[in-house]
Amino acid sequence: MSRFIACCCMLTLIGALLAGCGGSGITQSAETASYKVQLTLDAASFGQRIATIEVQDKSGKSAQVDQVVVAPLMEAMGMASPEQTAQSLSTGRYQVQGEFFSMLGEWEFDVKISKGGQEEIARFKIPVNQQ
Amino acid sequence: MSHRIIRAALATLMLILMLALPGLALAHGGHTGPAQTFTQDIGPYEIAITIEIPSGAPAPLYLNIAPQEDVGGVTMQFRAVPRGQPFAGAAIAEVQGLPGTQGIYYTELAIDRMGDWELEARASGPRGSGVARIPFTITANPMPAGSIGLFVALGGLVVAMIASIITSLVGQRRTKPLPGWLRWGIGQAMFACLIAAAIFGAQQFSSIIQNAQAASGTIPTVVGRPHANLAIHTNPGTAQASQPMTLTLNLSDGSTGLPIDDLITHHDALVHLVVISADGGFYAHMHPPRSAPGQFDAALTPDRPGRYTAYVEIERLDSGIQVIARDFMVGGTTSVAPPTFQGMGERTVNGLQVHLTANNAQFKAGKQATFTFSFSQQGKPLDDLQPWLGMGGHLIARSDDGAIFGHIHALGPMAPAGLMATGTNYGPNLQFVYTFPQAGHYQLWGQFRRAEQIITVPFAVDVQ
Repeated sequence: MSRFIACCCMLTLIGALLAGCGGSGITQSAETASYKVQLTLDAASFGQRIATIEVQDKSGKSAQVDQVVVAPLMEAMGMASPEQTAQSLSTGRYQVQGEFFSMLGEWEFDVKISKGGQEEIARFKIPVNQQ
Repeated sequence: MSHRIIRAALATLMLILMLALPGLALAHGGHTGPAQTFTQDIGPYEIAITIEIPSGAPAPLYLNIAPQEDVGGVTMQFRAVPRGQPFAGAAIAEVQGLPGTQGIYYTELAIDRMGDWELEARASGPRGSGVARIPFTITANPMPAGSIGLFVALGGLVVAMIASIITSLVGQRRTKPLPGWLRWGIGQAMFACLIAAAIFGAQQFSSIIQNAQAASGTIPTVVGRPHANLAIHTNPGTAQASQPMTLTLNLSDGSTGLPIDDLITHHDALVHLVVISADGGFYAHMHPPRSAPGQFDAALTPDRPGRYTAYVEIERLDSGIQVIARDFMVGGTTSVAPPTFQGMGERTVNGLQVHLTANNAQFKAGKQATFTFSFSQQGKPLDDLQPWLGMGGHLIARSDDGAIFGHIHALGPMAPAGLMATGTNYGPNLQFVYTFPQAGHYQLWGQFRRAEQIITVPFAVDVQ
């Protein structure tokens, strides 16, 4: 019994430490007037990050659009990062790499989708808690 | 059966405990804390003073003094009194400035009670003297509910685990088994510690959720404060070109009319004052010292006659940053030539080569522009730019008509305050991102710090 308890305690402490060191990817979804947008970031931290954006129409079909631009912004500090255009991987699937985040805190990550001269913006909130 | 119940209970408690322990949530943007940095011009000397505010009193008040320029031969004196009381008779701490590259000077004062205090900082040296009165508050900072209990429980858990491992090892080597009550006791102790840790952890967890809700606005805790009004006075009353003058700022509450004394530091200063002549040839980014509640005095020497605009950037407690602009006139004559602003490209400033580029050949209103400053010296890229006001660089943008005023910060993390900032460097490239809100001609000034000197890089752009 005591051995079992010791194992449990050890696992608890290891788990708690791992919980504090977590830094895995983030996937969020948002909707605009015409699209369902899914954003996947490899990590919410400083440095070169990869953002993968999947754009679907309201029926759930992958949507081919003219341009997808990402625009990170930290409103609390009035800090904007350069906008970047995502590259198309396949129909409705886009990817962009860049240094999106440079301060700790909550960032707004706008995905601007353009088609036929119309622009719609999907807005995501990304908590950046690691350098 | 009882073992199964205990195991199930343990598994549940472990889950609760793991959820209850907070992750690493390091948010930036707080304006209060154990250390606050105040950058101001004390006479002709710009000095950043970091006050390490104690969590109680009586206690020593540690001061980290970081001159932003050479203070060789400068005597700096500090004394603190409860706000509203006279400084006469208060104990003085004195620091003597050394020439050359500046580090951080340390001194301390004794604080005997909590509440609102005022720190008087005096600097006197070959180039002149000045005084600043800096407000700060000492409040009790109790540990969150359950913190002590949680630490004790986790400590007990670790001790019991070590004891369990030792007894297991000893038991394997002995022919005679250890007494059963010993293993039973250790097991019960671990179980008790685990339960206690889960309870106190859950308390922590609920307070974290409450704080998060408050921060996200679910629970309204802050309602903001009225706007500020600004009156300015010059001394002499009619300032003259090439003559020293004092610009006094009087800030008052927009609702009560009373002097504002609730300013908090943002980017390491209570007030950021930018004074620009109408033609943009005179530019000064200053941090006037507080001389009385709501009053700040800036010493400057305008170099040409005409209209000047003072942009005053402040942040009141529980409120956002606001900029108030006021004009004043300077008389006299001048031999200073009208300014010529360079656009993109290379230039030499303070002996450094600064190459400025932009992401667009043409700038359009409403479209994002990215400016990149690249620093080098004799062909060698420089990566030893120092933090100034907590950032790698500042960019001030102003439209020709004075209506648009932008204060943009270089991309990159803020430098830590006080001693922790030592060794934080930036460069060789620093980027600024700004969206010009309307078409027109803009004057801009990039500002950086290297080798205890402020480097100012003026340029201009046309926005369509």
